[in-house]
Amino acid sequence: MIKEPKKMKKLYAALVVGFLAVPTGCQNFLDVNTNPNAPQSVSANLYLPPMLHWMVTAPQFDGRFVGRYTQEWTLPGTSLTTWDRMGYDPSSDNGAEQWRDVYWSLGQNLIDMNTKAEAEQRWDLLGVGQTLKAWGFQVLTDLHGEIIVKEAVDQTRFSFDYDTQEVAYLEVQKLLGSAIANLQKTDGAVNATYLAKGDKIYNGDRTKWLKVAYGLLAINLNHYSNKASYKPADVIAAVDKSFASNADDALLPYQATNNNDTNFLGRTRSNLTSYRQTQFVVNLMNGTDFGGVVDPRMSRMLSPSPDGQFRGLDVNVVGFGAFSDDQKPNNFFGYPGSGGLASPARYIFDDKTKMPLMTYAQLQFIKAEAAYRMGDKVTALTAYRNGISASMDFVNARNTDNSQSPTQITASEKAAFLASPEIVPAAGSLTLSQIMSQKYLAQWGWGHNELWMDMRRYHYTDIDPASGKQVFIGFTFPTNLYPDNAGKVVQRIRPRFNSEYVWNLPALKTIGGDALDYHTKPLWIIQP
Amino acid sequence: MDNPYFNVDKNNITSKNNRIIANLGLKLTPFAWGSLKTNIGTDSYTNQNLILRHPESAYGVGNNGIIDVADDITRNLSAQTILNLNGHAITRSISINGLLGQSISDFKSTTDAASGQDFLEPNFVSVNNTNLRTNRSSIAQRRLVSAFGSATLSFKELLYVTATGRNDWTSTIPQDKNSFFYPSISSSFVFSDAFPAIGRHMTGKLRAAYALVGKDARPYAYRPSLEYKTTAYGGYGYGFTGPNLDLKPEFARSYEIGTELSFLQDRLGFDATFYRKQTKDQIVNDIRGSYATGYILFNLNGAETRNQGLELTLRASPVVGNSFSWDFLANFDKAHGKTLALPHALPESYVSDTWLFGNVRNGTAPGLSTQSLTGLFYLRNTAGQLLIDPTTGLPIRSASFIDHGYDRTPNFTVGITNNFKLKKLSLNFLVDVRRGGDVFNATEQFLTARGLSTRTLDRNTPRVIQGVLRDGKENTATPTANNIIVVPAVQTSYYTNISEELFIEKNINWLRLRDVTLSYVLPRALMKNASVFITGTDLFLLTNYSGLDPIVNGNTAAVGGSSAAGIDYGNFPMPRGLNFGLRLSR
Repeated sequence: MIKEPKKMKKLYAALVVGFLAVPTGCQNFLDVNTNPNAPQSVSANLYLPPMLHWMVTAPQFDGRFVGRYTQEWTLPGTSLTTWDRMGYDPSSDNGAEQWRDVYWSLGQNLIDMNTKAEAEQRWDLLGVGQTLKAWGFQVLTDLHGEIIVKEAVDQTRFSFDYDTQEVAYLEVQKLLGSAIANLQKTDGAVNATYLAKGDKIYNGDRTKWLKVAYGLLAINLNHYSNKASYKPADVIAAVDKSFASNADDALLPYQATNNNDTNFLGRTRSNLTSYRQTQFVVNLMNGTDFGGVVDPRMSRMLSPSPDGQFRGLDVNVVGFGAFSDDQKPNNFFGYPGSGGLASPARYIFDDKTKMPLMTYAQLQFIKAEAAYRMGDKVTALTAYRNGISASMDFVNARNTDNSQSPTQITASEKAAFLASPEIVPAAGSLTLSQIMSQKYLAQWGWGHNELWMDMRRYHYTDIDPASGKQVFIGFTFPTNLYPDNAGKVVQRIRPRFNSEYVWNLPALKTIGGDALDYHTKPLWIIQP
Repeated sequence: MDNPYFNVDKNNITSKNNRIIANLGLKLTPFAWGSLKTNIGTDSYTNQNLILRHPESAYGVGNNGIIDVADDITRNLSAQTILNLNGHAITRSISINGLLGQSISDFKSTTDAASGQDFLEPNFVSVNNTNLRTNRSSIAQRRLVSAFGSATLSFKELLYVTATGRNDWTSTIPQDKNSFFYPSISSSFVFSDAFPAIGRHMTGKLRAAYALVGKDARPYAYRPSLEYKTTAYGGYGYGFTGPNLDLKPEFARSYEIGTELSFLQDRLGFDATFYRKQTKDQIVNDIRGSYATGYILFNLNGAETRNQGLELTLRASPVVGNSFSWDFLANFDKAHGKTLALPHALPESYVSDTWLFGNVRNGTAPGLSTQSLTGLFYLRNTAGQLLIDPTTGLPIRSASFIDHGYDRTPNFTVGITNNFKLKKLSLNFLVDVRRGGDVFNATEQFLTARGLSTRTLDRNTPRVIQGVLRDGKENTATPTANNIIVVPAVQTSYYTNISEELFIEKNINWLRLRDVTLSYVLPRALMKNASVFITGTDLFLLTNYSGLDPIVNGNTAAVGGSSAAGIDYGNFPMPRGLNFGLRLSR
């Protein structure tokens, strides 16, 4: 009875020591929370492939919707769709894939990649990263207007203030300036083989990326066309340092080994199966709008009806209207109804299409517009002719990406088309209608971001004073606009619903984003 | 939709489990005043899962068959050592006993999964038989070390007070916050022994307890990790979940008071418990934020919820006899949970797996029930009238998820068990009653949108939906009454764009016979200690619910949060069951 307390004391002492030892001794034991399923940091070039994929692919997700605003295509159904009426889908993320892309698919990945590239003096990779970032803010502000730039990608915040479109435009120019400087460097750890591991667009060729940066700069500067500060000479200078031929086109070849690396527009993914071309785009190519000259690209880009004629749908008519089965336009793969699975497709609608981000043709039209606006019609005409010629070559190239069904445009067809004065007039007779409508065709089906900016810059239906025709020949507004529009046409897409309307509403309200007709508020960039 | 027989035969979901549970216990009694007990145990299993969608099934035809296999190897180890300190009299009337203990656990699960599509031979079930294969492996590990102690003081065996303390160290919380302590105290007082004047008529006990309980996070919750992307040319990119290096354990503070009373030599008994539990810094998994964070989901502390409830039990043995007896037991349960706060004052929290049909989910927000529903419900003017679209004549739905006063929590539930014995025959049945709580009949909405519900029979009848036009005057004293005639058969969005609120049924009650058992003890001559029985489960249901059975969960409880209970989307009712059996005992 006397000894026991002593024993107890010893035991307590042992236990106390034991417990005190736990925090120090067991931290190693407890250090098992590093996720073993994937790394938390990887070599800088391994961040690149998904980001390049989304840079080319996310615009195609949103193109389903933007393409209805621009009447490239329409979605026939039992009633007119919201987008065909220049509306939107409430409480849906439709039309905001690029929002997700810029803030999440790029987001922190791009920051990590650029930080590593800079630390390792990989100026070529850093330049590609800065170009990507510039691209992101460019397309996002063009789609949505005010966006989050300064506070973007910050996990310590849970509310994010919107920046003006001007801030976004200047940020793009700044980023492109840095990208151009870095892509010109050959010192440090610049290494085409290293870059090629992540870059399947140019296989690590930094000089091509330099041209992409200049091309994006040309796009950015040309959007100022309605402003007094517009400098067409700067636009032309940027285009001249950019793509020199179709060989420079930024193309991502889809491998089609699984769903995610298959062309979003392809038949297997079936995202576009129910869509049909509009009568508006058919009229631009079947001679209606260009003095009876039939565009040889029509039968290689658009789809015929089962009777062999090329028709489009009227966006104001529900479904296929009065068309008989023989007259209903085929789907973009070239088959009636939902046909065409595992069969050869057309143009950029194949599972293995090489999808463009930007093309030489597109840039030549930008040069043509800038030159035309500064009164240099000779330069404008050359660039305009180059644009059409390159676009025809592009159509031929896309129809060989995976043995598509249309025949090639022959050299004589092409020569005849380019020799037609309705298409390529004398320099003095060139009109903005021709430049912008032909640019529309060169971008049809894939270049929705720039195409919609073009249409908004010319308020969709502006008249070209020289030709007396609309800049976009034959374009008419939907007669049955979406109810919330209050009679106005669409000017922007609302920010992503499940990001902003749910989780960042106070900031969105300060820019008026909660207004019912917010999507009809004109962008800063198109205003004088 | 598949033929059900084909479905049963060709579309398989199987799970094979091999499990070994082993425990080794050692007990040492080196001293008179205590003993030392050590347990070391393992719970290890492999679980082989298969989901097969036949190439000719509705689900599988688009991909020419889909087969998913996943093998989960789980190995859970735990060891616990407890030093028991035997009762020790401090004074003549006060004694103390207690324990000190320590435990270590390691939970690890490794899953290797493969998925195949595009079957070569349609009826051969193997991933090897597919053209397109993807695979994925995932590991999850969590370790926990604990030290704990408890002491009980008793006073004359009338009053007991127990205090406990526990400290946990976890692997799933950042190291600077991964140690957390939580105590509890509970007491009971047998007042019928303390006051013999009372004890002559009854026995009675009062209980009171207070406890704090800490809880860690799931593994890998606070640091983002990259994942391999299957987009063109592979590469790495971050997953959906963003970082939160400030993640800390959540705590629940609870107290309860209760009493246990019995009368008439225990032939009548009454128990009552009231409890309230409030969580603090509750970890909300996968809550969304603005994409401008760079991520889509976060695991954040900061939710606060309060659950409180009342449980009453009445026991009675109205008839006690050798040849006939009757026992009766009734349980009354009333519980309610309320969300008090969400992290970063975010407007809503929901589990995306409950967003099963249309635009309704188990969203909750501060001030709402933890079992509320949010959705795209109809907009109304300040007078509560429906707003009608002046172009279509149809009501306008909200553009964001809003609350409309729904609560899936029942007002109360009652379970009544009766047990009758007549010699060797006994009859036992449980009747279950629920009062209140809302149920979303998504099945009916699905059928309505497709013209398959009888409520669409009058689709050719022109009608005007009662409401006011949203023409700018809707909130004035003289709103424009809707006068636009719609014919649903022509304007199909009358059904296809109908709001879910018309299918959420409020205050659903039920009375169901959960189970009934009739058993008979066989004569000893035939067999010793044996009885035969017949049990029927869910034999009848009385309810005001229009669907099949309101006891639904559109998903499983495993989705977390308030789950998809009360969301009925193609759910089957509880099956009626009949079991016959023979029970033997020694």
